[in-house]
Amino acid sequence: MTGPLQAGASVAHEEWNRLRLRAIFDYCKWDPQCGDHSVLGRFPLLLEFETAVELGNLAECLTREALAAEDELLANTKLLWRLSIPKPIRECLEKAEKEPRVNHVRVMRFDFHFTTRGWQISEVNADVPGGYVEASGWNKLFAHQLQGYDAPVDPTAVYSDAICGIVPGSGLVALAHATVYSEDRQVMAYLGRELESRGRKTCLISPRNLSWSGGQAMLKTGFAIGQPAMVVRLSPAEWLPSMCEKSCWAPWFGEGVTPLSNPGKALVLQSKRFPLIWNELKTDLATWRKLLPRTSCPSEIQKLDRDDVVLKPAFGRVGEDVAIPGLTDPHQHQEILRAARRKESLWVAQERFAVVPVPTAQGNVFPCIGVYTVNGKMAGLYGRAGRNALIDQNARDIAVLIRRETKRRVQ
Amino acid sequence: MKPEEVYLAWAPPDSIWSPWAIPVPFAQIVCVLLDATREMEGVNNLAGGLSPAPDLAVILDLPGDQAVQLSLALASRGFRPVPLIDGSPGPEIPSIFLSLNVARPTGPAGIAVDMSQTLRWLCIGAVQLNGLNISANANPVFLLDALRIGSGQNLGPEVFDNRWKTFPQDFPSARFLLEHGIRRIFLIQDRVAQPAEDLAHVLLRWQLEGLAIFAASAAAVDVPTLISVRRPSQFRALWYRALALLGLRRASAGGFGAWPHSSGGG
Repeated sequence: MTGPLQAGASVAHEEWNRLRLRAIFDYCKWDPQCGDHSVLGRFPLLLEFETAVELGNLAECLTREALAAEDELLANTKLLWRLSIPKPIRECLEKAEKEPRVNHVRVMRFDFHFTTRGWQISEVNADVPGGYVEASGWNKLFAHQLQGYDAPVDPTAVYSDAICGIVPGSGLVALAHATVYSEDRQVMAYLGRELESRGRKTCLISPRNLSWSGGQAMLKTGFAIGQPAMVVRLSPAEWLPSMCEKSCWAPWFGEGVTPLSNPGKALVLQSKRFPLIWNELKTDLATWRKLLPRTSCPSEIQKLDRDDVVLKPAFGRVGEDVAIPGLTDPHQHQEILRAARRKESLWVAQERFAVVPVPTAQGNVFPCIGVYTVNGKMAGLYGRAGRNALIDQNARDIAVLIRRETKRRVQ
Repeated sequence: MKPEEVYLAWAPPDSIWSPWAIPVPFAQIVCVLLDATREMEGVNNLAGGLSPAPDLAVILDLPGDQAVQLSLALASRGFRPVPLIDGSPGPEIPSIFLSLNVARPTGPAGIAVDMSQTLRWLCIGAVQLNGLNISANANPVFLLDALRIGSGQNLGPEVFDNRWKTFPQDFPSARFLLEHGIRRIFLIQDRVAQPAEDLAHVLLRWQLEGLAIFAASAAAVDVPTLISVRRPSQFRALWYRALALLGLRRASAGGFGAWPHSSGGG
């Protein structure tokens, strides 16, 4: 079976080295190596224009449905406990005002795979999606290598425009992230540069550097003082309570006066247990039902080590702790099985799908296309590919290019 | 020198070890005019008892500036320095932003790990390395900053937290090292001792694959002691592996905010 994705030719080693250097210094790609392998792939994934449009439309539908479900869940919070959201956060969400006082910017990334059943998604990163550096920079760098193909729309640029739509003139945007991790800092550094190029001021901080007064974020640190007009976050919401006093983290889950991106309530959609409560919602989730494999609580599965069962933590990210029989290291698989049996409420069991491999000169790869939406509109494509169907830290970042279409643009 | 030129001096395209050179400090570096020759006076005499051997790799886990200086001394004897420093010097990135921070910047007092001297020596080293002719497969000298986890005190919310750890995936695998003839690892620290907890996760993996680990002090590098790396807490445990993964690196520190934290994976 062939799919709608093709691998382009690999670039020569010298040229790839040049692109790698440009990625580091022009696009803040600061983690280009992982163990013995380069993180950056040497070939691009090629899409027809219509495929990109289809993915964009699907992602926009998924976003619409997700946000409607989020509203319903937060209006009637009795289902929140089933998402395994930590209790302190759940209590904040239950008490929060239901109507937003300001406009937040919402960014999500849906991970699409072309499978033997057509397009499916493995998950949504609704809280703090990453990959902007690669989906902006690596795509652009590769676009110059191939005649007749364009880079998809640049997610960092779209995100920056959306932020600037809320932050006036030379307003300050605080970029909150795990300052101890360069993988996060690189994303925020690049976003900060884009914002500064649009006249905004930025400050790279940890969420714990913020203080709050009446729902207004304040910076009173040893290295910066100011009143951010917006706070952008790349630290997962479920960990915020572990960082600092409640007065420091709770405002993320309420409706304050400082616009946020993403607000903490995004955690409702980030939980991989979200599908477990679909049948109790009035919201129409037709696109989700079509694209996400059947998802259950591990307690509903008799034999968790079945070949067609994928185990995932409720709040796992970037493929960590995902158990796929035959792909996950057997020792690790057993550990995950034990963990899932011990605390079933923190895991989900998902029906396994079969990704259609894409042939390359170096053998088959299994691609994943992350589709961003910003405020509900398609905002870019992020390519990764693994030597097997598990997209984790061993997968490579692959440029995604769209065959040029002269009359229309994917926007 | 521009940041990119400094990086290329430390990670030239022809070196087989360059892919592991971590770009983080170089992408945020600003080098001012320096008299590198004067600065290097006395440096080349450091670690006089250590010379390249076909089966040898060195790890310098010393305060950053000292690690850089010692690596330059070893470079003059044919070793290839490979910086594995994954820390950011501070909240500002002058090489990237024109006007970061509306607020008044303060000195290193507001920063957990003062990297200013480390960066200064990386700048000096770039000039020095450009004048050397090191072979493409020279013995590697991996550089860390022993001060990477700070003073161990809890940091207040006013401090910019730039602490970091090293992880197994920051290094070549034992298999790669063995394939390139490396059989012995010299770990040079302030004193002969077990490796730091995070580095032990790397070295024990290597030891289990057949590499011999020796420890030496910076003051007496010619008196190495064969050590047996003690099993670090959570060695190869699920949660530790998860922490080492790129995503949970974010999840842990991003959420935990405090450092270090021991309950990742959730």
